[in-house]
Amino acid sequence: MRWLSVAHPGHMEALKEIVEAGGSNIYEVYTGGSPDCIGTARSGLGTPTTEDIREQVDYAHANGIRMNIVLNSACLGGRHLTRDGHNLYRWYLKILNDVGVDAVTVAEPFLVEMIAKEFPDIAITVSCIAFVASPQKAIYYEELGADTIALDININKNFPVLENIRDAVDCKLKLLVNEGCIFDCPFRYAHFNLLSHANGPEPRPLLNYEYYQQRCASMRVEHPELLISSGWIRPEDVKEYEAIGIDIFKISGRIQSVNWITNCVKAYTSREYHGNLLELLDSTRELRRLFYLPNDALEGAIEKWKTCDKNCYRCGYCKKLSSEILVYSERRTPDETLKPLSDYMVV
Amino acid sequence: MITQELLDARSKLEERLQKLTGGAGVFASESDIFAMSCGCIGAISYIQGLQLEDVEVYHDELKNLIEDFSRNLGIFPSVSYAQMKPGKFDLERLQAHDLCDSCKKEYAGCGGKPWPDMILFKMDEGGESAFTDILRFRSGLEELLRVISKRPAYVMQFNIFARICGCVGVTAVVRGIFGDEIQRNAEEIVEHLTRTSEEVGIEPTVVYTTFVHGTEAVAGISAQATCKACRTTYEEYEVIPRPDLDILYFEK
Repeated sequence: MRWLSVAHPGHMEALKEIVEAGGSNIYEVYTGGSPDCIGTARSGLGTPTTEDIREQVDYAHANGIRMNIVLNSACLGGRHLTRDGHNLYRWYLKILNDVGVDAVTVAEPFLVEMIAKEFPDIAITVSCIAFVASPQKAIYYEELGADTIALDININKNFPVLENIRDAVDCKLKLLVNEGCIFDCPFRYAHFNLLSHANGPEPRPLLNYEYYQQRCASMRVEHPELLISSGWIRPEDVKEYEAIGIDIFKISGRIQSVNWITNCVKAYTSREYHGNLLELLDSTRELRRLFYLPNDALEGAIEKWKTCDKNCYRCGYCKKLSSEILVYSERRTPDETLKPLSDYMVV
Repeated sequence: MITQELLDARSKLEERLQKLTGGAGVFASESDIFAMSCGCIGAISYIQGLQLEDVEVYHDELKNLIEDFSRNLGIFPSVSYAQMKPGKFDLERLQAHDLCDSCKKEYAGCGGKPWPDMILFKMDEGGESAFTDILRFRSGLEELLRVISKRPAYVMQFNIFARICGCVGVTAVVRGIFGDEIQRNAEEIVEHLTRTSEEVGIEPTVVYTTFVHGTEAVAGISAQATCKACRTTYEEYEVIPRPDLDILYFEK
């Protein structure tokens, strides 16, 4: 059975390597569309032409894999509600439809409804940045026309809510497995909004600072337990989610190197990983050169998280686990070493 | 001293680029030598005025140019490439790395295209770089910040830079340390960065921290010998302070 949705940077060479790494485990690959039409919530590194997409769709189909184009801008700036904007989106979606794209991922309810009505051949995935975190919201999106819902990562470790959503809708449910964002991050909405404008149609903001990313990295250095309480799912724990009816598991990382993506694919397809868990996490990757979070030390923690009430301020379980974190020191010098976190701070 | 070599290398690279492309509007706005937290070291030149098609036409010449630039600074690259601006057709920088073992794996494979916005010139074993002191500079500052903050403060990257205006300096991209911690230990930090700067031939006229905009979280720490024009920026600081800047030392 195919169960992985894999990030694809957008060029043919990458697609071939991803397909080779994931084989028959891959349900779909997803990549950004044209930023000049509808933005996405991640940087678009490549600018695949229509012909590039057609060629890649054919290659994916030949390998039994679906192609999903991500159009998940968190803010369309009202363009979609203008006649010109609506026509532009219609024009672009027709191109995607004509080249055989199987699905699109969107975050805007208008687009869900519009695509369901006007492009019945294109399956609709509701993006995780639509923040679907309750049965009722899932029902709304299913009624609008969603075929798949990528759930809010903040409920990844909230099994009762996941089970209730599964009961409430018939559409496919997808979970993002390797995003390392802060649990209940205060910056999440604003950050995705900013990224959507930065990676969408002109005019794009010329930023001097990436406040959200810099601030969140600083928070995690100050409070390393935030690395643990984040919504990632270890390769070993995927089975727990399959058992409650989650259909698809999404590997994030379309701005990462191809070898990094294929390494993640291999870890999740083999359902085990022995190394620094941060090496598998897409955000914030910069911290993997600072911290070493041994994946093996987290074995069994899922049992606690399955019943966790998410009151971190009075629980302390993830903080206690953070004592397993090691810190890199003096990299690539004769004194290079990995030290316990407790050498640097009170854990 | 490495900084004078860097200044000369920047001018030479710019001159060769202009001769090669015949473009007066082509210039190298800044050149750096850097050390990353993973252990990679390398050389960068930020280029203005070239496009994807230029990179394709002058592929071999640009490869030689950035590799000569890097080798002349004592860094023997295992990878060299042109980095385009994400989603655009403009060249952002030419770069050469002496890769760490971990990054070697990331850059390898995929038909020489590990990222779609990168044009890889070469990837091989490289050589043993002569200038590795920069790794020590990065980790030395990191350890100091860890002692000061009593947490695992992080120096993601440490650069020695030479700008087109004539400014030279050292700068560190940091995470996990805050303005009040820097202020309480300003003397020690200024002394550390001044000593490091002097090792590479820079006598800093200004030492400052930059903040994550609107916060007390520190994003960078720099020591710089300013050119005449840029000196004005810091002279004006007392009259028109910048909210993202805290000057720890300024030579009047």
